[in-house]
Amino acid sequence: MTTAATIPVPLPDEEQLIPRRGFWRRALSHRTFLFSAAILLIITLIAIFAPMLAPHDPYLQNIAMRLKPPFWHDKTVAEHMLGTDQLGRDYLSRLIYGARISMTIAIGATLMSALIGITLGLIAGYYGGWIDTAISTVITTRLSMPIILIALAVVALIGPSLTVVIVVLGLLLWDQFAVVTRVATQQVCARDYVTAARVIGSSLPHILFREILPNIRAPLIVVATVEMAQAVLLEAALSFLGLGVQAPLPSWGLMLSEAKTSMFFSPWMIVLPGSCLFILALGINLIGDALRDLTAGGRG
Amino acid sequence: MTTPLLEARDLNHVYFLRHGFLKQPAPLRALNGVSLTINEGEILGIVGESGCGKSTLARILLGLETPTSGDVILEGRPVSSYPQRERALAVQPVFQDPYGSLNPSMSVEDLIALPLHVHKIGSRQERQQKVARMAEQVGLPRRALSASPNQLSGGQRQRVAIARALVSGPRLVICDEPTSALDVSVQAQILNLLLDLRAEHRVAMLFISHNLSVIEHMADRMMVMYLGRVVEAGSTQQIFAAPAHPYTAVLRDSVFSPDDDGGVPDLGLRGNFPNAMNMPSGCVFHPRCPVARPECATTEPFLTQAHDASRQNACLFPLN
Amino acid sequence: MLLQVRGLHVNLPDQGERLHAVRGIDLDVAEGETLCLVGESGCGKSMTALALMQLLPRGAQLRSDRLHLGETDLSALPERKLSQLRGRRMSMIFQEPMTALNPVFTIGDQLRTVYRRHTGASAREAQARAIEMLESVGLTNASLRLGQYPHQLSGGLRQRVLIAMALMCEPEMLICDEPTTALDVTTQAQILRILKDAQTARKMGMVFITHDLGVVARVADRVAVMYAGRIVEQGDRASVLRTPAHPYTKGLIASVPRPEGAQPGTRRLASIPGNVPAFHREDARCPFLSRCPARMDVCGAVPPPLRQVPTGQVVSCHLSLDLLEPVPA
Repeated sequence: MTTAATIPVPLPDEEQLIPRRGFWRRALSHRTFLFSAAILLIITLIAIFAPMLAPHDPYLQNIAMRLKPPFWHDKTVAEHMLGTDQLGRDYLSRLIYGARISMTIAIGATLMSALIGITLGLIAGYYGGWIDTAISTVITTRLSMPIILIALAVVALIGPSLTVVIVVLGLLLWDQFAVVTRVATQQVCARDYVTAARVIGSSLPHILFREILPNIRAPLIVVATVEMAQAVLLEAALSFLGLGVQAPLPSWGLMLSEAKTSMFFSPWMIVLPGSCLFILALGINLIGDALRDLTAGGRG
Repeated sequence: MTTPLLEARDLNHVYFLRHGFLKQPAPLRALNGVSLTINEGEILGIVGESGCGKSTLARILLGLETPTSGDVILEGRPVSSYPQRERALAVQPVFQDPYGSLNPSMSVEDLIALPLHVHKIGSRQERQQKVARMAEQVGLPRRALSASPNQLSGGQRQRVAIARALVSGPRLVICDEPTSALDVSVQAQILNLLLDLRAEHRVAMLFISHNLSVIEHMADRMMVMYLGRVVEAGSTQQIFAAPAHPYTAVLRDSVFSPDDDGGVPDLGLRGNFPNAMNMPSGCVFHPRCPVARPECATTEPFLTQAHDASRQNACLFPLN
Repeated sequence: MLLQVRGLHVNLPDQGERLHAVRGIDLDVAEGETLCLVGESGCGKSMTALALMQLLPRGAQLRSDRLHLGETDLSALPERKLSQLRGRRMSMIFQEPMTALNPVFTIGDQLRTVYRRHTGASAREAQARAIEMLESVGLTNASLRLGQYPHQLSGGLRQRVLIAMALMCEPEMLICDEPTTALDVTTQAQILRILKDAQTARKMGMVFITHDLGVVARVADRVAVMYAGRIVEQGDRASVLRTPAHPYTKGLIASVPRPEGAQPGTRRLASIPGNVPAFHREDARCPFLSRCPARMDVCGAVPPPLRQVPTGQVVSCHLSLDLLEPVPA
C-alpha cells in the first residue's frame, strides 16, 4: 500500500475537470513524429537558407571541372564536395537549391488542391441531394483520369514551367481532399452541435467554417501530407520526362533526367538526387502516419 | 382565455423512404394529427417508445423540419410569419447526447455565448458577463469557461448545453431526452437544475422522455404517444393515478422502481412492436393491447375528452 | 459455489498511463442465483464481466487470487480450452444486440454453428435445437426466423436471438452486460421475463450487470454495488435496496426519480455532487472519498474495513456501525 495520506483529496464541491492532454505533449513523446518532423525541418531550413548554405553558384558552369566525383572517390576535387555535373556545376549547391523547388511545388500544389477539394467536399457533404450527386460525379470523373498522362498532355500543350507544374498538379490532386472532406462533413453534420447551431439561427459561413471545418481538420492534415508527397514525386517524374521544371533550374527530378546519360560512369549523379527525393517523400509520409496516430481517438 | 405560449394544430408528417434503387418511395407517417398546447412557464411531458414520433415532433417545433400539414402557432402568430432570428431566440433546444451536442473545437465560454454572438446581442463585455452569470446558475465551475468540452464530464456538458439554451432568454426550451445518456446520480442533478431554472426564468419546457417516472417527476401535463399519434393527454398526476388508455397503463407498469419487489411483471403485451410502414387497422395499438376487443380492429378511435375538459384519450374502451 | 472470484484486478492502457478499472473485487454466485452488479458508468462493471469471460481487450492486464467456475480454474486455462468453455459452460449477452450478431449470416447459421461447434451434433440436430431455443424465448414462426438476417429483426427480437444463442448449450453460468439498456421499456420487461424464466428452468447462475436500480429490484437475488473499481456494498437484494448502508448506495438509491403522487415539479431529488474519479495509481482508500457527505479524517488516511452490518450486507466503510445503520425508507 502506498502512503495514501500524501495524495490530496479533492473536495466534492470542487468539480474536477479532466486534464487536457495536449497535442504537443503527446507529439513530443512520439518517436515517428519527432523523426519525421526533424527530417522535414532540416529540408525546410535548407530550402529557406539555400543562398547561405550553398558553397557555389548552382548555375555557374565550368567546363574544366566537368563530372568531378564526390569526396569518397579518388579523383575528387576538394572544393566540390559532392562533385560536379556534366556542365561543371557544383552538385551540392544544385541539390540544396533543388530542395527549394521541391518544397515550393509540394506546398503550392497542395494548397491549391486543398482549396479546390475542401470547398467541393464541404458543399457536397453539407447540402447533399442533387448537389452532392453532381459533385460526386465530378470527383468520380477525376478519379477515373490517369493523372500522369493528363499532366503530361497539359504541360506539353501549354509549355513547361515551374508555375505550370504547380497549377497542373494543384488542379489534378484535389480528389482525395474532396472525398475525405465530403464524408467527414456528412458525419459531422449528423451531430447535434451542427443541429444546435442551425436552431440558434447561425449563418452558413459560421456553420461551415466554425462548426464543421475545425472538426474535420485531423483527417485533412493526413490527406495533405499524402498529397504533398505525391506532388513531389510527380514533379520529379514530369521533370525526368522533360515536361516539368526547365533547365537550368536545379530540380531533383531534372537532375535525375540530366544524369541518365552518364548513369553508368557516374552513378552518384543518380544516387544523390534520388536519395534526396526519397528522404523528403519518406519524411512527409511518416509525418502523415504520425499525425494520424496522434489525432486518432479522443471523442469528437 | 389567455393565449397559450405555443400551440400545434393537427400536425401531420410523412417521410418517404426508398428501399432500393428503383422502388417507389414508401410513405412513413411519423406524425398523425398531433395537437398540443404549452402555456407560459409550464412543463409539458411527452412520453413514448422509439418510433412514436416524439423526436419528429421536437424537430418540427424547433423549425428543423416543416410539417406535411398543420400549423405551429407561437404566442398567437403562426411561426412561418416569424423572422428566423425571432423564432430562434424564442425556442431553444437541449439534446440527448451531451457528447454530440457541443462543438469540441470551441471553448465552453464561446459555446454558451453562441446564441448571443450569432444574433449580435449586447457588446462583447455584456455577453461575457451574461455568460459568466449563466454558467454560475447552471453550476459550472469558473475554470470550466476556458476549457474545451472534451475536458468535461457528461453531466457538466449537459449543464453547458442548458446554459446555451437559456442564455438568450427563450420562452420555450425543448428538451429531447436530456438525461437519458447520464448516470442516475447525475440525472438527479440535471433534473433539479431544470426545475430551478424554470422557477427562476419562468421558461416553459417541452420535456421528451421514454422514462415515465422522469416525466412524472417533471411535467405538469403530459402526452402519451404511440406510432405517431397521441393516445392520452392530461394532467400528469391524474394520468398517473388512473391511466385511461391501456398503453399508458402498460408504460406505467414497465417502469421499475428500486422499491419494487422481485419478479418481472407480465405486461400482457401481445405480438411484437409493429412496423410503422404498415400501420394496423382500427386502433393502432390493438394488435398488442392486453384488453383489445373485436371492435378495436375495425373502428379507429379519436382523441376525445373524458372525465373533465383537461383529459383526453384515444381508446374505444378506456380503463378507469 | 458455482462462480468464485477473489481479489480480481484489471488494468487497461489509457493514453500512456494504466487505468485501474477493477481494483480487487470478490464475488460468489451459487447455482440458480442472480447476482446484480450495479454501478454507474466507469465503475468497472463491464470490465469485470469481460474478465470473467477472459475476453478483455488487447493490452488489458488481469490479476486474481482466485477465479473459479465450479472446479475449473479459469485463470490457468490456455486460450484453446477457454474457447471450448465459452458458449458451452459460460455464456455472455451484450448490451447492443445489433453489433453482437454477424450481419452477413442468417440467424439459423449463427445458432447452428454455436451448437455444432460445442456438441459435434449433426446439422439436423442443430436445426431442431435452434428452433426449440427460439421458441423457448418466445419467438413465433421460429423455423421462418432462422432464414432471416439480423437487420430484418427489431432490437427486442435480436436480443431474444442472442439469449437463445447464449443458451444453446445449456451453460451453467450466464453473464449479462446491460442486456436491456438499448431496448424500449416495454420490451425490457419482456426480455427480463424471458431471462428469468430461462434461469429458473435451468438452475443457471447469472451475473447481471446494470445501472438501473429498478431492474435490480426485479431480477436480483443478491446485489453488489460497484464504485470506481471496488465493491462498496454487497448483500441480499432486500437488505441492500431497502436498508442501504454505504453512503454511496444510499445516495444512488435516493437519486432515482420514483412515482410519489405529489405535484410534479415540486420535489427535489437527492443527488451526489461531483463525478466518478478515474484511478491511474494504486490507492487503497475509500473510492467514494471525494464525494462522500459523511467523510471523516480517517477516510483520507486508512483503507476502509469490510464489515457486516446488522441487516446482513457486507459494507466497506469507516463509519461506525450505528451510523451505518440505515434509516428505513
